[in-house]
Amino acid sequence: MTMTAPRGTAARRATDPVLSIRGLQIEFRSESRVMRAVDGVDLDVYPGETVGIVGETGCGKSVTALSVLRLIPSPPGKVTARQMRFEGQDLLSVDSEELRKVRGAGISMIFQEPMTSLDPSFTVASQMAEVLQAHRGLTGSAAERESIAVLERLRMPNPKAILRQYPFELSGGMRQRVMIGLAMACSPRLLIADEPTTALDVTVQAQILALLKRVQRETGTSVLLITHDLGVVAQNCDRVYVMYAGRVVESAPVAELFREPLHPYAQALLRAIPDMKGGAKELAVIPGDVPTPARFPAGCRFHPRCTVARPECSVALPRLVERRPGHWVACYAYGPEALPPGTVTN
Amino acid sequence: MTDGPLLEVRDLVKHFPVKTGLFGTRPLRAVDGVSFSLRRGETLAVVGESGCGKSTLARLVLGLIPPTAGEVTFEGRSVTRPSGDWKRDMRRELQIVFQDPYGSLNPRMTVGTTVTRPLVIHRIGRDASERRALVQDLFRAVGLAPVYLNRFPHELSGGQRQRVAIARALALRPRLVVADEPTSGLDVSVQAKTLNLLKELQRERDLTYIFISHDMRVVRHMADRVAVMYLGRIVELTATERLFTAPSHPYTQALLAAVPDTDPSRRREAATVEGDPPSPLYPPAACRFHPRCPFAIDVCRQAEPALVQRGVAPHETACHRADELQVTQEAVGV
Repeated sequence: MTMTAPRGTAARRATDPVLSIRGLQIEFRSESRVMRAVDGVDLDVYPGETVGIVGETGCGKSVTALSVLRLIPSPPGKVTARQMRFEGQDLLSVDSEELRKVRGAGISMIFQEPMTSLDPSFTVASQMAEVLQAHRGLTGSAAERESIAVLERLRMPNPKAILRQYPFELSGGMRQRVMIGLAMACSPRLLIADEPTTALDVTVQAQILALLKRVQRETGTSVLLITHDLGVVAQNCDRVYVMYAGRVVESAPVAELFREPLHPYAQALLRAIPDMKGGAKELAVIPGDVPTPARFPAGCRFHPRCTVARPECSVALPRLVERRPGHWVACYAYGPEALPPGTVTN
Repeated sequence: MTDGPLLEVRDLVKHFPVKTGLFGTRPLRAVDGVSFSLRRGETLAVVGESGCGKSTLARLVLGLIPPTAGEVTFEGRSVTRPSGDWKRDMRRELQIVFQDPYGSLNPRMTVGTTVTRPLVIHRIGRDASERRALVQDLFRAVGLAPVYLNRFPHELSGGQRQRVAIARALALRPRLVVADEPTSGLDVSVQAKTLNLLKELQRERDLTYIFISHDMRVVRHMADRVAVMYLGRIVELTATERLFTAPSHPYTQALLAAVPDTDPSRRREAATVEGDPPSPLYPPAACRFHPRCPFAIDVCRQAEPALVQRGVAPHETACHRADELQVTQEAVGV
């Protein structure tokens, strides 16, 4: 079974994005310094689309996701953006009541470790009831009926028994299914999934990924999927943003990124994955280490590790340029248009 | 030097008593009848999901915990019941690299001191300066500059800490190294470097590896042979190439199919097996995989299949229907 990806680029562009972010910056302050974990990220998620953000530890993908639901504590965090809109609503200026409505009914989120998101001292039923009451005003037997219906829609075996259980009584896979159930209980238009299968065994991961795909198809919700696993991106996403050191370095339809990655970092990352067909004696490596936000290099942040770096790479941060329809890359190797306006090079 | 196997594992069993309820205890069958042998210089991968017993197996093989039954021998000498000088020498010959180097490195010690300690304990090197030179060589061998000798674990990246753990494991010039998930938790670019390093060290130092992993891609890259474990038992054991091209156990087939393909044009819409791996406290009767197996028939619910050699190529499978299932595979050209 194959699926053609992505679904109608042209049709998608005709509608407004569900989520639209421009110039996102996320800083963390300590007494001695300011670390800018995310620095100028633009991101769009269109209706019904599954968008991936992929990158290694410290690239800023998870804090980007957290910032959308205003889940970054301030201080020490500070989130600014030229624009952060969900269905036209400015997320950075909403008051706490409006934010409460956005969370749950508009946008919900699932995390890597459902055990830490579920309350250990309440049954699944009472946590489900709380969500249904808070966001949909359902109580008593109406909430119970709806809870069962939610779990049935996820095709969970024996929903009544699961509702009576406490989180610790469930397996990791079941807990993540319950989390998806809680997240989908209010029919959100955007589901943010932050490494939802990272802690799971591979056969269970396959089940959860298939479940997310089905939920997405049946409800039409948009999904923003944060992952470090390029295989998960290839299997589940329509479009993907590749992040490195707090910046988006490339974004493209998934088929295109895997067929012809343009950014040297994306190319190197794909080559570093061991092939299931075997053959290679040695894996391709990226020289050096991922820089921490305190030590991002000047210019293109990848240039000290890049095998095709040129003099201008250390001068200024390259801009994202659309090199093919829908395929953006921030790299001087493809032409000087990536230079920010007003940059002087010799 | 003998021509026999370097390591032999025979009918190894490890049960942990677990309290269930107020009065009872139940055996958790972590490893439940495992046998294999290891050739000098090869890499055997042990692969499986959480609770399959692979990490317990690693500790048993090294003699770190006593077995409930069965035996492990290294060049004919017992690891499970060592005697005489071998009791001490065995600690030099067999080493382990753990998954989380942060948990296995002393946070209050510089990593240089950590790597020096086994040399002091085993009285290797005449004095401190000779040991220091040895440790510098080890750091160089794992690709760490000497400046790192005086750093503490928290000052290093995950990949660098894993290099320190590898240097410590190699300090006593072991011949068998068990690597227990050495790259899980590392980013893919760091993983690539660590795997390359482990292969290079194996060539240079004639090491034999037991490579414990849950990651089929990593296993494919590292191993000569693979043992697939499910709930305390080996269900399939064969050469890596053969396991990946002609798997005959339904669980192996499911594991391989579950790896997310990096080709977006080959998308899978449904998972190959349903449900979670059962708890090793309550393993299903007969074939332990039968409740999740899409091919289970009556015999699978009645009798436990033995791990037996089938066909011409060395290929052991514990499945009542292995012959049929493998034929099906070859017929469709997988």
